Amino acid sequence: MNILVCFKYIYNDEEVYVGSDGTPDVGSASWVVSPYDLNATEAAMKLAAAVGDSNVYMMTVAGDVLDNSKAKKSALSRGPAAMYAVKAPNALELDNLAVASLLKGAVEKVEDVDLVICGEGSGDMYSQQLGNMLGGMLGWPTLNVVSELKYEDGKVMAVRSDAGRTETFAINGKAVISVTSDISRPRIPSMKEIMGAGKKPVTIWSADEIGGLASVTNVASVKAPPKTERKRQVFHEADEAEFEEFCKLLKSSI
Amino acid sequence: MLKNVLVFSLSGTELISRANAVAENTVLVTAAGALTGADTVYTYPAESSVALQLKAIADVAAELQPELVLCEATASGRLVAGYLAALLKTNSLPDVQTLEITDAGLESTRMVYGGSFVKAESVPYPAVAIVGGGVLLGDENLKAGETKELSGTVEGLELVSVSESGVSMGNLAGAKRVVCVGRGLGSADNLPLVDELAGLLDAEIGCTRPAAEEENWYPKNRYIGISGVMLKSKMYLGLGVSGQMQHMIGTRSCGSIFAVNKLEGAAIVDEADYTLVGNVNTALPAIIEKLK
Repeated sequence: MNILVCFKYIYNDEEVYVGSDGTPDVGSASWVVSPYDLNATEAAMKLAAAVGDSNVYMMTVAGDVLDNSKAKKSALSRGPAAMYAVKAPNALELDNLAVASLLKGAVEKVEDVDLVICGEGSGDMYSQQLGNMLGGMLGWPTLNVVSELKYEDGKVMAVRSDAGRTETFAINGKAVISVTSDISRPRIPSMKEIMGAGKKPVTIWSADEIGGLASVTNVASVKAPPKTERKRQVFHEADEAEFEEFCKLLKSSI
Repeated sequence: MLKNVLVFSLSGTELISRANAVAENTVLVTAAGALTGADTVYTYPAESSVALQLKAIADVAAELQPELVLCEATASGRLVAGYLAALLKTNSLPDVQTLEITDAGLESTRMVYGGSFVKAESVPYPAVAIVGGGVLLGDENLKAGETKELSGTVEGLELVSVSESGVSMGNLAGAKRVVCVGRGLGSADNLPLVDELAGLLDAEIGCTRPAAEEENWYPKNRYIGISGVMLKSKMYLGLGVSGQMQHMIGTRSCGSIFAVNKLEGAAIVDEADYTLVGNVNTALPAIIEKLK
């Protein structure tokens, strides 16, 4: 079975600051693989091991970060055998329609892809839409919020959990699956795995080569919202009067 | 006035009411027995899954050619939204906080970067939006239309079993008061005390993402924050909640924020009106005594 994990390079959100004009300041932010995509990668590795005789590949649409060897290693040091990428200089400005259409084109260039696995959403935009759109474009069976993937009696079984309802599907053929972050814990790669990842093959196509659809979304602004001012009063349990006062305030809220 | 609007919703009349207000013709896709109110209502069997109906819903959309698709902000709504956006060659606007339906298209805002920023964006028609409760509030405006049945299947996808947890969904999003459990509660042994306190405060119980996903203290639909429930309650009390941004974003619209935390330096202290610094194991029963 050939499993493709779609992932996104994002700016490390701990290094994205609010700029003086209220817009995101990414000037000193480093690139990371979006955290939820690491859960998807580990889920793919586990499924591949359960199925046996399987391959796991990574796939992304990204810009100049593709020239960054550390970023390459962080994508490939957790097990997958190779990476496919569509290089688009303005990748982070593309909307999901454009990205999904590039991924569709790229998926169709890779031979015999059985499953496409996506994280639940990206760590920056968190739209939770890309896998669903890609499934629609490919016309493949599409599932989201999958919290468990297993292999039973020659079939991939996917458990989809939506609020209080749990649905178990048997997948016989191709599918696009978006998994939740609790499906697996990402593995911590060893130094050997990180070194080895640098030698794994990477195939890069240009966005022009793939074609794809143009973005339709006009972004008017991205700005920090005004902060709600809070009273920030502190009471100590050890101080009886303070404890009393806290409870009184709590009671008055009823 | 728009010509055709398609709505996917399993509960609540907000989306269909707004669709009826802005469009000549409305189509609702829902599970059997869930909702009515559009010119045409397509229902799929309640024991089926929306994942099996995607191609059938896409067929409905292909024939209708809606300018606008509105989907509820649930996992199923997001699945339908993305799938139909691909068909309509548009970009779905996910989990909007505000939505303007204009002559030219949709204008929306939503939170990005874990709630640190708000993104304002617009798309021309045809357009798809994922809309949570409270965003399109307005007068109820329902039509008595005809009902048709969808019985979709998807080749290669078989629904083997369905189970309902039976766990009460509660109404966190609409609750007046909320007690929220974080991992700092320490132990599941304290959960009965949380129930008791919530009872005394007439509050719904919510939790943080780790309390749901890592400790499994509560079902996942109870977690508050960027990827969970956004509160509008008058009062919020966090028990052992550290105050991470992704969580606190869900409390931004709350009235008073109370917290019990062992660390005076915890992030929640800056985000709260009143913080009790103490040990939740001793403070919780003591607070319950005081409230009785």
